[in-house]
Amino acid sequence: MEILLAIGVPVLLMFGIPVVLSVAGVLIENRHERILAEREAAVAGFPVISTTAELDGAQVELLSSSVVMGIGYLKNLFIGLRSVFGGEIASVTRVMDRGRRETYVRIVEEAERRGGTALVNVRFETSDVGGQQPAAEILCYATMIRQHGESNTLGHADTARRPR
Amino acid sequence: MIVNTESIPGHDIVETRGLVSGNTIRAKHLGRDIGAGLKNLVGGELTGYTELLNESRAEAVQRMVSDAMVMNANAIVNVRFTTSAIAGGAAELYAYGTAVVATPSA
Repeated sequence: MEILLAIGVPVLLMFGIPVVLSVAGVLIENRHERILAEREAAVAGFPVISTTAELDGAQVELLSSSVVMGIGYLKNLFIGLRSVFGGEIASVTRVMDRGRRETYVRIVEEAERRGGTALVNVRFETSDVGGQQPAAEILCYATMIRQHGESNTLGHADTARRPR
Repeated sequence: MIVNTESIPGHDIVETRGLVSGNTIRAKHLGRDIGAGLKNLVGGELTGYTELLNESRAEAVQRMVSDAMVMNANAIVNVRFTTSAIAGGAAELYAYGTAVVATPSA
């Protein structure tokens, strides 16, 4: 009985904790993606381009938004395992995608709050900033245009796409 | 005026003053590191670090602006940001751009 307990408890902890954490991680991830989809839908009409637009009579302002995404120890461990054979690490792709969508939505929301009519010259940047943590910063910055009077026209039909 | 485009809508760039930049290196206190460590058990946004980097970036931009003011410029164009991890837990934020004198176009 004592031997069973001595082996059973560590084994349970060893497998139980990662399972609980990954289930929690997936739930949080799904929730975040659901919220992101709603926020994206809310800002979908806003013109955003990654090139420069020449506009007359406009005010300009530099906006930036960033988010530090923790990859999570389990997924980080998985990167090591996956590297043995190589290939895409889809679970981490998903984390970075969430981070990038988050920065994108935040910058558009910020532009709307400030009364902007368009975002031009959008740039994304990613860097490893975690130190000991498996984490990456995703930065999005752009020039916000505020036009007076008539509604904005950038002359682009294909605007306001979220990054992919 | 600070933009990351090469020109400013509605303005003419009459003079280029030169490259301006600002940087800062910051580390968060241990408490935040522990908080981030716990959050990373499941992954997701590490809010403490996001805040830190946003504050630091504002600081770097501020330094770049002071640099431009010394040059008597009234705008900075083509601004770029970079971030990089320096030794354990500290990050460098760097902002650079071209200081110019811009006037509203006639």
